[in-house]
Amino acid sequence: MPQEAGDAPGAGSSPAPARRRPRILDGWGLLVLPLVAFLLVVFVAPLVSILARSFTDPTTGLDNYRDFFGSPVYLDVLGNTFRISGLVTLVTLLLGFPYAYLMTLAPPLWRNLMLVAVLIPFWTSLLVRTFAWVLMLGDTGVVNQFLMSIGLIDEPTQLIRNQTGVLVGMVQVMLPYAVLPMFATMRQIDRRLVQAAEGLGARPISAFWRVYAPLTLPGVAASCLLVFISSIGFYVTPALLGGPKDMMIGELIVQQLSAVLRWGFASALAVVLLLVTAALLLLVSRIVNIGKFMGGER
Amino acid sequence: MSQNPSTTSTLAGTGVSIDIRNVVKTYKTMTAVDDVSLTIEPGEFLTLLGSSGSGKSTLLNIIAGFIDADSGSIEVGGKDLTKVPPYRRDLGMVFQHYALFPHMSVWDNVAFPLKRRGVAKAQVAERVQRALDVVELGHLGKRRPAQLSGGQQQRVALARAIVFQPQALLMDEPLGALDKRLREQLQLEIKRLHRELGTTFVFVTHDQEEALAMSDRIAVMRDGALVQVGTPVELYERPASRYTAEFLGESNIFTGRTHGVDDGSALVVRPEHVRLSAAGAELPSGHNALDGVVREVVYLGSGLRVEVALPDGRHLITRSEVRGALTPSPGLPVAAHWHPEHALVVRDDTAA
Amino acid sequence: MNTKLLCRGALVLLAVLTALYLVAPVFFVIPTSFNDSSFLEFPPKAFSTRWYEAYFQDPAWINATLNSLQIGVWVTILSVVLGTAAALAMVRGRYPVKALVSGLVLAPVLVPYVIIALAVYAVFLEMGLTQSVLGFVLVHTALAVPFVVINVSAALVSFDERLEMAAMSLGANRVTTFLKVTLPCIAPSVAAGALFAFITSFDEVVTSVFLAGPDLSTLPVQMWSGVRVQIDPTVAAVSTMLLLVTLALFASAGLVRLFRARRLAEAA
Ligand SMILES: Nc1ncnc2c1ncn2[C@@H]1O[C@H](COP(=O)(O)OP(=O)(O)O)[C@@H](O)[C@H]1O
Ligand SMILES: [Mg+2]
Repeated sequence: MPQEAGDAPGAGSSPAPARRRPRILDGWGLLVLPLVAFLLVVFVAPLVSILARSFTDPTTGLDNYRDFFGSPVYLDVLGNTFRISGLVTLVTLLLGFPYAYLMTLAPPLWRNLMLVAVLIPFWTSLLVRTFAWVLMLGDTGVVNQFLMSIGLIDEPTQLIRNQTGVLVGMVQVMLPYAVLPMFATMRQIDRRLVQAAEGLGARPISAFWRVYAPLTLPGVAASCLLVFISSIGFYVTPALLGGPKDMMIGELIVQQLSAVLRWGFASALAVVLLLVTAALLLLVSRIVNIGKFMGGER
Repeated sequence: MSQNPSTTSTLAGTGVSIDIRNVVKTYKTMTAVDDVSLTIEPGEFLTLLGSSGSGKSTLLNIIAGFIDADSGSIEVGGKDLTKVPPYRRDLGMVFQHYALFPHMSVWDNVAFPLKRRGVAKAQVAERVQRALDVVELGHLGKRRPAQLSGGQQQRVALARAIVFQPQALLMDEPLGALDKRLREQLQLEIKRLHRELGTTFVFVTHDQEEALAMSDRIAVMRDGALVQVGTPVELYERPASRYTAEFLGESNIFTGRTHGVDDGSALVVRPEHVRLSAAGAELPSGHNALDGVVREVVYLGSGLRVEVALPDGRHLITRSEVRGALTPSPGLPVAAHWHPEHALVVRDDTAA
Repeated sequence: MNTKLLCRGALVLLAVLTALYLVAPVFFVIPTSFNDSSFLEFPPKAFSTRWYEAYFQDPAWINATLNSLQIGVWVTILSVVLGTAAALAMVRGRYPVKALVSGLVLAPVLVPYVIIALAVYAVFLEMGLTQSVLGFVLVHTALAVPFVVINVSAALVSFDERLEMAAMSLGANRVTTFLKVTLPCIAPSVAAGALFAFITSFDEVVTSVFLAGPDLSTLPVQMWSGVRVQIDPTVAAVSTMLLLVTLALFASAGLVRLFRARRLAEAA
């Protein structure tokens, strides 16, 4: 007969009898082994192998990293990556925050419609959406046609194969990831606080900025950081919508591999990208529980 | 409820005794069950009564087999079950939050224990129907639990726990989630079930009125230990300690210091034994009396509850009939008095 | 008061534009796919199903679709099994370095796919696993399994363990309790995890582009090459079909939930 779970770690901190664990649940820790083994082989081992490769291919040492950090061309790519990710984060915040806020105010029917509008891109293939942008933003695409018909421009403006295209595409991809957690955060906030502040004589707008907005800060900050982190690693959208001047690090990795077969250098780039991502994730985990955040969207 | 006695009698079990011997359960530094020994008689309705955190659920779960005691043993019907897993103990269990299987119909819920025991199909149908009839839900078999009210759900849980004729029925605050009226109604039904089935019932509650109303015997628990075991009448009229006296019903307590009795003991007088007379009026001979002033009168419907302020600042509670000799009103000087045989000297165990 | 109204108005306008921006490209593709011209003008000048015919007549597209389906099904099975087991262990089991394991299980979602693609490609190239169904299934499973774990562990956390105590008190042993009570209760979340897993695999571009080749391609890879170099109008037809299928899948999942809630509400 297995031991009762009373001496489980953390058992002492849960006095509620309902959470007491019956004995059937013991020994189930073993069930995590298959997945751990699987991920070690399919996920971790390859990462370790490129880490090694970045120091050994073609020569042993730091050459690949020296190459990267010594060349303005490559550093530009890193700069592009951060600039574009920063812009994506900013635009996502500017569009997502009011949207999420309005969702908390909207009556249920409208709120659900707004939710569906967020979920539809979330549910549809990234390629399909990117493809649609390629068509819509092209020289003869609907957007240019519309802008010309209202007389805003005389001849087609270039909207893809440049930074505009990348931003349009990436923000649309990232918006759902920002709106859903921000909405979840805002819904928890007691709106009566704002009313109380207004009752105390604060003007509505200042009540909003002084009372409501600060309360949303942790959730909003975490969303923004996650958007930024995801953006850094983007490949598909910038590859299809961006121009050569706005190359991001993900594209550079692919290019170095497929065009010039520089395995070691591509691996070093990947390691740099991985380290940047990990450092930022560490920052986020200081603010929120990442696991909970990722599962926040139902 | 079903008026047909044969319906219930075919579900009747045979009462078995439950022997709890020196059971101890400790969590980290806290002792949840502190060396409890108790014999529950065959067919008895025994209630574990205690405030929240006194170890009732832990003890019940040890009997059911969900928790291993650190030491001690559990015997049911003379058989040592200490090492038997819960699913082979053959004890019915009813939980506060019903614990009905949400993905099964009411019918399938009740059939569940029979199927586990490989009962023949025809017999399953018959016994499920009978168990549902006993709790008056025979017509709701097709519903899902979520489609029933709280009271109905608890009845289904009862039907499910009795349908396989367990050796004994364990209930952990089964009425705790219901409102007062439903609670009282279900108290009666559980009591009736007990009478008709003859099975041993172990019932857990923190509600002293419920315990008094339902039990053959009550075991009062405090901080994991048994304080006193006895029939409701014994516990109410002869509490062994100040804790029991205060926990069961209302009491007027006089500690030794105030009454010149030895320290470590207290005097208990139940409110219904205190009578009020106009100040200065002649009192029945031999009565103990205290003078005071009526502070508050509460009309309870069935009687009056009167609070009398004593000169030393404490107060005393009495219960009396509405149309007594005296009509108390706030400010009225009175003498509160009682016959000495109603004043019990008990151990004062609340100081610690 | 006036400023407040003005703010609200601006807010609503901004939200409407944002919503349009979110859904417009999705619905733009549908009419475009019925274009008669290979320039895919909008609005289409003439209605035609020629790009759908092109899709169904091109073995490259059909094979890619079949490969995607096959890989998706295997990924779903594998990640549901691995993920559900792991979720059970993570919520209820006791094992060392719990935090580290949780990090490892979530990591595939957090690490940029380009990195995973590069790393896995390097290893698989040596092992001869590129352009093989097995290779695709392994990588996609790593990417999909976190969604199963997240869904199932959320269900397990909110699962009332007293149901298991009840089942055991009624005579069900551990295995029966799990199969008859625990599993049915968490089944909707397992199904949701399975749906996510399938779509993750079915939509996956980056790692697939690395692993694919003339011998084995998937639908996203085929679409990728139809957009990357020069626009293949067939992509519009494929996109429309994909859209309708995924939307139908998600909508039916949503409807089932709604319907169940409605039925319960009615009866209560
Ligand atoms: N799993 C556990 N871990 C630590 N302490 C527990 C656990 N279960 C119960 N306790 C403690 O044991 C005591 C008795 O609990 P319980 O039997 O649930 O009381 P009751 O049912 O009388 O309210 C409580 O103080 C509770 O905090
Ligand atoms: Mg309890």
